[in-house]
Parts: sequence; C-alpha cells; structure tokens
Amino acid sequence: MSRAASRAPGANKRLAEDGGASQSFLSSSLRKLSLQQSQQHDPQSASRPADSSSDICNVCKSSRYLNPNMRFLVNPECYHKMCESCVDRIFTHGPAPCPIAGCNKTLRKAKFRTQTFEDLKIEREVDIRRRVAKAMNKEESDFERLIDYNNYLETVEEITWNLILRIDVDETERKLRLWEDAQKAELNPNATFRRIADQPEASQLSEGSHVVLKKGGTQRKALAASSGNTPDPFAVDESGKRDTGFVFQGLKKRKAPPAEKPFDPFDGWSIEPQQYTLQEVHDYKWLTAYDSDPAYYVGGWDTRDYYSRMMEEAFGGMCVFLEDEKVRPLGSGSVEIGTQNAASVAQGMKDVVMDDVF
Amino acid sequence: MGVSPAVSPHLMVPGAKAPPNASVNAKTLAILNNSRATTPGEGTADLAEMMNKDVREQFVEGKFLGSGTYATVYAGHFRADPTKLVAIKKMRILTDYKDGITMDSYREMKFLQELTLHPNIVRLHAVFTSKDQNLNLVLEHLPKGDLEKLWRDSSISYTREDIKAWSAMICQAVWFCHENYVLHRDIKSNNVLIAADNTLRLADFGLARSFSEPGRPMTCNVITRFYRPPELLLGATHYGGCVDVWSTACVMAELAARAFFLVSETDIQHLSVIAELFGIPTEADWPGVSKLRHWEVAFGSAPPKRPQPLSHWRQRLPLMGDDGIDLLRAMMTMNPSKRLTARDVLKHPYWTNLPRPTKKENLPHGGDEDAEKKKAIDDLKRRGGDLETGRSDKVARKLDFGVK
Amino acid sequence: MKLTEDVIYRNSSQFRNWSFTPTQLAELRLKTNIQACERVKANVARQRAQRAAIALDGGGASASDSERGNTPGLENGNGNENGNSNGGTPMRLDKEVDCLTVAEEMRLVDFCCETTIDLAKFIGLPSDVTATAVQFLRRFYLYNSPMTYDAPVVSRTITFIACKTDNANPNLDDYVAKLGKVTRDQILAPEYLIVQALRYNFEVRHPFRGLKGAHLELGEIARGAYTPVAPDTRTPSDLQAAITALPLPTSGAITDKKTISIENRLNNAYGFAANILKRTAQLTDAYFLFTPSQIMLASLLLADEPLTTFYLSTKLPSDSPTYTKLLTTLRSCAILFSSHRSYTSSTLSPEEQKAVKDKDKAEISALRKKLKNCRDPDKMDLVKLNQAQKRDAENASGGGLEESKAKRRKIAREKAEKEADDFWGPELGKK
Repeated sequence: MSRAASRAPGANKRLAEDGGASQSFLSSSLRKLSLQQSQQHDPQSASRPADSSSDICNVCKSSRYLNPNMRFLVNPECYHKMCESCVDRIFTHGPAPCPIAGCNKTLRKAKFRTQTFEDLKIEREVDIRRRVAKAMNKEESDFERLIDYNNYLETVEEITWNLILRIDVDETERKLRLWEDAQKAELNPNATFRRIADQPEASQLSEGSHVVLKKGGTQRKALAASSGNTPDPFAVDESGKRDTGFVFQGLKKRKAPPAEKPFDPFDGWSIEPQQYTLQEVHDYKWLTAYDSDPAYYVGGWDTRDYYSRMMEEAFGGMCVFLEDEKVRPLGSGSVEIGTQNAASVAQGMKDVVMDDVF
Repeated sequence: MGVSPAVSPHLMVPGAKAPPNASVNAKTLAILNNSRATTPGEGTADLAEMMNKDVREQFVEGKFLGSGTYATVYAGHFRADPTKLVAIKKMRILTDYKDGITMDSYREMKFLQELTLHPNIVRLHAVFTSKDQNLNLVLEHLPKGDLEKLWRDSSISYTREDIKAWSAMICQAVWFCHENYVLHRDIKSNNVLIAADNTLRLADFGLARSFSEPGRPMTCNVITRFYRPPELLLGATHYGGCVDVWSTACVMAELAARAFFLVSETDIQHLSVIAELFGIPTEADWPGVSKLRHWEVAFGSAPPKRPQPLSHWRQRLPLMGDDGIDLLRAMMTMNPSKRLTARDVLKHPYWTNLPRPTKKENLPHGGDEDAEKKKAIDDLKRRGGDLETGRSDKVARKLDFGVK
Repeated sequence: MKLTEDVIYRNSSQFRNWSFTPTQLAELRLKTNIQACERVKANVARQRAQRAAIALDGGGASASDSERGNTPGLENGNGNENGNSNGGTPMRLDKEVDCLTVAEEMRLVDFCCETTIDLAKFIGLPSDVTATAVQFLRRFYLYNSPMTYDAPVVSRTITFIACKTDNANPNLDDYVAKLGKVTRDQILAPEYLIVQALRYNFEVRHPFRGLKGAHLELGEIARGAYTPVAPDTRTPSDLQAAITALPLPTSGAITDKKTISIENRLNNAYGFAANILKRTAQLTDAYFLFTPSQIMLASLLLADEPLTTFYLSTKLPSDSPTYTKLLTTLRSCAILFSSHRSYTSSTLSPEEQKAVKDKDKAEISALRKKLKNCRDPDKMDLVKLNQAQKRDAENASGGGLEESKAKRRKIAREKAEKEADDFWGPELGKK
C-alpha cells in the first residue's frame, strides 16, 4: 500500500487519458475507499478488526480463556476463523461447507492454516497480492519503454484491487486465468505446438482469439496486431466481445529461447591444419622403427604424435609474414610478459633513482 | 613488445651528477649523442634489468596465501589497479638443488608462456626476479580454491551434471596441452583450480615437458602416485599423452566418489591396487609389458588376476552412469596404446548424452574469500552518497511478495 | 576457436616477443649499442676518477676497500684483462674509450655462436639443444652488448640453460667437468641476468622437425601416395609423375648433373637443407626475421629449387598472391643464408677455406683486442657481481648497519668524484 504514493503520477496520467471515468478509485483516497467497499460488498466478512471475539471460536464458541492451547485457523476460501478442533471435527472426512452461517464455500482441511496477520483483511490482501504477483511477473526489461512498464504495473495494481475489493471478481479471475494459461503456453511452446498445427487458420480470426492466446507462438502476432491501438486493457470491448486475458502495450515479444545447441565437449576449439592432412602412417624406416621397438610402444609412445608434430611444424607460420605482421613500432605493443612499455618506464624513472642506495 | 626508447643509461644512474649542459631530454640525447659520456656513475641496471624491474613494479605483493615444496604463493594486485588481483608465486631456492634455477621453474615458465590461448589453463601474467634473486611468477588470481578442496568440503553438494561439466573442462585443458605437444605430468585435483567465474584452470606446469620427439628417454618418476599410470610405475621411459589421460580419469572418478580413487602407500603397492581393480595385465592385452623394467618386481610371480566387473564400478561410482563408467574404463585401459587419447576422450558419447553438463555459472563452488574484500574495495572507490545509478531509480520498485 | 598451424605459431612467444622486421631489429640493436657505449664511457670515466682520487689521497684506503666488491673491474678485471700492467696510473685517463659499433658487436656474437656450436658438439649435445642455446645467445645480445657482458662467458651459461629447458641431462657437475677450466659459480653467476634478458621465454621453435615433415610428405608424393589438400585436384599419380619429371636443380644439393633416383634426390635435398639449418641458419638473423616453416622451406629451396617450388605448388595455387609472396619471402631468407660465410665457405677449395678462416681469425682477434679497451668495468667479474647483488639483497632485508655502510660508501665516492672533478675538470674530453 505504500505503492499508492509512487504510483500516483502514473495513475494521474492514466486518469487524464481516460478522462478519469471509471478509474476514480485509483486516487490517493484508495485506502479509505477500500475499507468502505469491503464493507459494502462483503457483508459476511469475518475480518473485522481484532476485538474480544478474537479469542472465541465462531463455531463451537469455546474460548481461549478456558483453553490456552487453542489455535485458530483460517481457510483462504472465506477467511472464517475457527478453532483447530472444529476444523478437525468438520473437515477430516473430506470437503465440507463452511459452518459459518451464510457462507456457502466448500472448504478442504488441507487449506486451513494459521493466520500471519492479526487483521484478516490484510491476510487476505497479502494472499491476493502473492497470487497476482505470481501471474503478472513481467519485468521492466520485458517492455519497450518505461511508460509501458509503468502502465503494466498500474494494470497489475488494478487487478489486485479488483480482487481485493471484489469488483468484477469473476471477470477478473477469468482474465487472470487466461493470462496465466497464455504465459504458461508461451514459456513452453512445445506443449501446445500440436494444437496450433491442427487449426492454423485460427490465428487469423479475431473470433478465435481466445484459443489463439493460449497458444504461445501465435500470441505474439495477436499482441503485435493489437498493440497499435490498445484500448484500456481493463475495459470491455465495445463490440461486446471480451478480450481474453490482458493486452499490454509495448510488451516485447518473448524471444523464443534459442534452441540450445548440443553440448560441445571441445567448447568450440578445433585444430584445423590448412596445409596438410594427416594420412595413414607411412612406410619409412626412420619413422616406423619406433613402432616396432618395445622400448617405445610398450609405454604408449605414439608415432602418430611425432608425425603430426612434424607436419604442424613444417607449416606452422608458413603464411605468417613478419614484414606485415610486425610493423607496429617497437615499444608500443600491449604489455606482454617481460615486456616493457614506454609509459611505465617513464613512470618508473623516479623510482629507479630513488631506489638505489648507492 | 620491444624496448622503449625511454630507456637510456641516464635513468639508471643514481647518485650521478648531470654534466653542466646536460640536455633535459635524456632520451634524445642518448640516441643522438652517441659519443658523449653524459652520465658518469655506476649504472648497475642494464636494459634487461630495467625491463625486469619495470615488470616487478607493476605488481604489489600482498598477504601470504600458502606454500608448497617448490614455491610460496602470495596474494597481490596490479599497482595501477588494486581491483585486478593476481597470485604471485615465489619459486623457492631449494637447498638440495645446487644447479641454479630449478628445472621446475624453467618448465613452468616455458610452457605457460606458450599455452596462453586456452581458458582452462592457468594464465601467467608476468615473471620477474626479485632483488634477492628469486623468480616470481605472476599468475592469475583464482579465489575459489581447487577441486580437491571442493570435493572434500562436505557442505558443498553437487550432482552428476556438475561432475560432467567439471570433467569436460579438465579434459579440454589436457587436450589442448597435448595438441601443443606438452605433457603436464602432474594432473591431480589439487592442481585444478577454480576461477571466479567457475571455470577450471589446469595449473602447476613444474613437471611438464614437450613430447613426441623420439630418442629422448623421459623420466618415469613423475606424476603424484595416486594418479600415476601403470606404465610409469612399471618404469617406461618413452610414453605419450596417455599418462595424462590416466591421471585425468583418476580426477574424474575422485570427483564422483568424493574420495581418492586409487590409494596406496608405496609405488609397488600402487601397482597392486591398480591390479586389484583392473587385473594383472597380460602379454595378450599389453604386448611387451613384461619387458618393462619393474615388471618382475611387481607382477613377476603373481598369479593372474581378473579385472573387477562392471557391477563393481556401478557400485563405486553411481554418479558416473554407465556411459561415464565406460569412458573412465577406456581412459584407464592398462595398455597405454589402447587407452583413449585426449582427443578421443572428448569424442566419447558420455559428454553429449543426457544429462547435459551444468552451465558454468550454475556450478556449485566453495566460498569466495575475496568477494567480500573486493566489494569492500569497490565500496571504498564509490564516493559517499553516490548510490548505484541506473534506470531503477526512475522505476517503481516492485515489492516482493515471496513469489520466488 | 579454429586453430590453424599459423594461428598456433602466432601464439608462440617466439612470434610474440622475438620476431621483428629488419628495421626493428636494426633499431633495437642500435639502441642497445648506444646504451652500452654510454655506460662503458660513464663507468670508465668514473673509475678513472676514482683511481685518480685514490692516487691523490695516497691510497684512499677506505674508499677503495668498499668499492672493491662493487666494481671488481677496478682491481682485478681492468688491470689484468686490459693487459695494461700499469693499470693504476693516470696515464690513460684522458684517452677516449673507443666503443664497438653495432656491426662489430654482431660479428663478435656471430663468432661466439659458432664457437657455441662447436663446443656443444664437443660435449655431445643434440643439435636442437645446441640450436636453442645459440638462439638464446642471439636473443640475449639483442638487449645486451658484448661490451657489457662478454660473449664467451654468457655462452657457457646459456648452453647450460638450454640443457635445462630442453631436458638434455642438465647436471652442472658433469657440465663443468666436460667444459673444463670453469667453475660452477662461473656458470651460475649470470643465470638470473640471462633469464631476465631472455624475458623468461624458453621455447625456441626450430625448423628441424618441420624439415622431416616436409621430407616425409615429399616421399609420399614420390611413392604416389599423397593426396593434396583442396583446392588442388591432382591425383596422387599425377603428382608422382610430376615429381619424377622435375628438372634437376642447377645448384645446391646436386651438382654433378647426372640422372638421379627420386629417392636419392629427396635424401640429398634433406641432407643439404638439414646442414643449412644446423649451422648457417643459426648464425644468421633468420629466426628473428622469418618463421620456422619459412626457414625450413628456404633451406630446401637452396638445396633443390625445382623440387621446392613444386612442393609449394601442392600447398598453394601457384598463381595465387600468397604463393608469390611466400616465394619472395623464401628467396630473401635463402639469400640471407647463401650470403653467409658458413654457406659460401663450403663451395671453396681447401686453400681458400683456410685463407678465409685465417682472415676470420685475424678479424676476431682484432675485435677482441678492441673489446678489451671498451669493456664495461662494472660487469667484468660476474661472479663477484652476483655475490654482491645477493649480499645487497640480504643487506636490504638485513638491517641498518649495512645501510649505513652503504651510505658511507656513497659519501666517500661522491667526495672522490668531486675531488676528481676539481682536479681533472668536470667533463671528460670528447672527440
């Protein structure tokens, strides 16, 4: 929530662009609004500020006063707090509806956990933020321009707040899921490759964009096509057709990670003689004598090494013309071993004089 | 390269008084005015000494890092840039070697100055002689220790992919040496150092020599015993790259087992340790082996012995996989003529088979002792209040909700 | 990285540090000579001044005592070696030192290279170790003058260093015993000095093995078993036919102009070229100016030109610019060899050879005589110099006592110089 301040300039800019229409909740009074809204839209919320009831289980009404070891658990489905023994009692035999009146959520035991924050509203918000951040994980380097990235961040914030404030939850959830799918597909294009091949013309049809977006490889085209006139990514298309997932301006095409080359055990090094090819060992007494001399072959001495070395040395440097390659003036080379360079000598002068005790 | 014209006797004549009308420009004078004795005095440094001094002064020696039989190593850095670290290896003057500069020093200098291209071979920046007549080899700074330290460190865990990546780098270094007709002759995990970017560097060329020239017997008393191949233990004096290949296989097996692979107390015992695993070689699979000098002592009267089966290897080196074991066994073939060459080693399917070797940047490694020190230097260099700049300033910082 | 044989050579220290254009080589030698001359003059002048001062002081005990260690030439070297029995008298004081020229220095070094080859042969060193020693010696005298360090003295140590770097059974006691008339200390004293001047590069790339390689390939061609590298499309039998049909050379390995079997022809060429490489190539600047491959091919060119040009044509298209350029380079290297004394002398009659030898001898002894008068007095006795350096190093780490001694020495010297100046005038005469 400290974001509010840093986001403000960007938000204001967006407000100007959008004529400030439906986005007013992005103003600096956001937090206040969130409190109001959460009360309006969320009558069954159990997340009232901590009060005396916090020590009493809402289900069995037993109190921590009587049982100091009592632990309270919540389930992120509805955040209704209940004691550990109630959870055990109700959910051990499988999913069951939340026992709190009016809450019809089906809960599973595995999802229950102790709350991190005293205020369950915060608990819920952090959960939502964690989830959104996981789905919307683009970085600055993924965007063409800084402004695009900031717009993206703003959208992310809007999604987050929509979920927190329960505005358009179904729609936002749906888009978020589509986006997640699209991201997954993009990360792992091979998984969906077959389906793309099945209906290649689908990518041409805006009708089928739902399908298209899921298919990593082709999504790029869709993005590129729509990036020119991106409408408010949050709004519903005037044509009534909903954009699936989100579209962000200036989002770089994800570079398909270059197909990893097979591992090269030589790491790119190769010996490639130009002037000779090593041939089968020849029949020369002065050479083959070693092949039949046990003093040589038993220890693994190899005539071929000798032969290839002879050949390498016969032509090593044949086309290296010193007249051409050594033209740089003396003393101006790079510092090599034992080399002196003029500058450091000049520098060293003083030391030389001072150094000698005589 | 070459010599700077700035070197004139003028510079190195301390305590000398310039003649009354000496030109300020000693350099010009020195070249133009050949016939004139500009600088009386006892100039002790000549051109070569000047060059040496000059190199010496490019480096600052730092704290003591360690010492071995032949040398003492100090940390150091370039005088001009304290962030550029080096290791200065001071060659010891051995009391039992009276013939001047040792062969080890010559070999190390000779070969490191030629094998400068390959990234898996340690880089020699410079050599200089200190005033007390000690050779100093300025080597690149390798902060992450050596392979032996790595496998001994039980706090580091690594996988078969890591082993493959390391092994590949060692094999590349050995291959490159052999392509340049240099035998290393002391390959062991403690001579394989780890650079800051996790690249392995083959170091210590004190026993290296060039090979392939016939008619020059070579000593068989080289290579640390645990890594010494049977032909050397048996006393062969003409050998080739195969000796290094055996040692390399020992290092790879050592990495996989996290223990020395072949352990013994004496040279003769080492032969029986080898025979325990590989069987006693026969004239059939190693023609001429019984003609080697130490054959009689070692195996002359021993009953035949069969090599250990594959299952033994699988049990000892589960991390190598069957292809890895096949490679190791081919690298440790008793008969050196049938052993893989360094080039053939790199052509073995083990490398290209799955799993793919770990990328360099992801390799596990021990603590980088100097990272903090380096950071401290960087911090010192930055002016107060001068924070890192970049686009991040202008971008809203993203909060971390623990996604990753 | 693609490593061709040329790339590999370019990475050698021989290419990086010891390859030059002729101009660079000449410049470097001139610089070394100028520097050495200045030093010799300066040091001789200083020494004379001291001697004068000592003479004036009537002994100057303290000064000469402490100086003895540092300027061995003063008492031992200069006096005796100059053959100047009255070395201490101020008679020669105003005589200008006549220094060696670059050409004279080179002549002395060349001569020393020759004696090194003979010496190495005498103690039974393989020819590549010998060649390494000779090249070390030549490299050493690029950065040093024989006026500073006497070539025969350096050569003994350098040969020993070559034995160490090339694994030729380097045992100092054996070596000293074989040489005779030399002590261990005399061999070891200049070792650090030499490795510095060699810039710690100890690999010399020789053309010997390459010549064997070429010989081997030529044999393959003659046997009809050689397939040329692309883009040459000739078949092995084409090449075989071509090599047997080659005209005989007009000079070099075959002089009797009879028909000769191709096998013998190749062997003759190999032998001739190998001799050039072992001796003439070592005595010239070939290693500085050409690559080992070029040196090898140039020697082969001198041995059998038609054969060599044919061989080259199997490597490079004979109409390509590289081929032309290579041939030009090889010819200039061949001229370097063929114009050298050691090459021409083999074609002369025994009497002529003897005459040349005598002339050489006279020339050398004249040069050595000249050298005696322009040796750097400070560098006369390398053993003592080395001891002094070691002592100084110990002192430097040792303590203040020695330092104060040094200071005293310095003051004494300055005083002596000042007095000398007062007496003889501030500047020494100039020609």
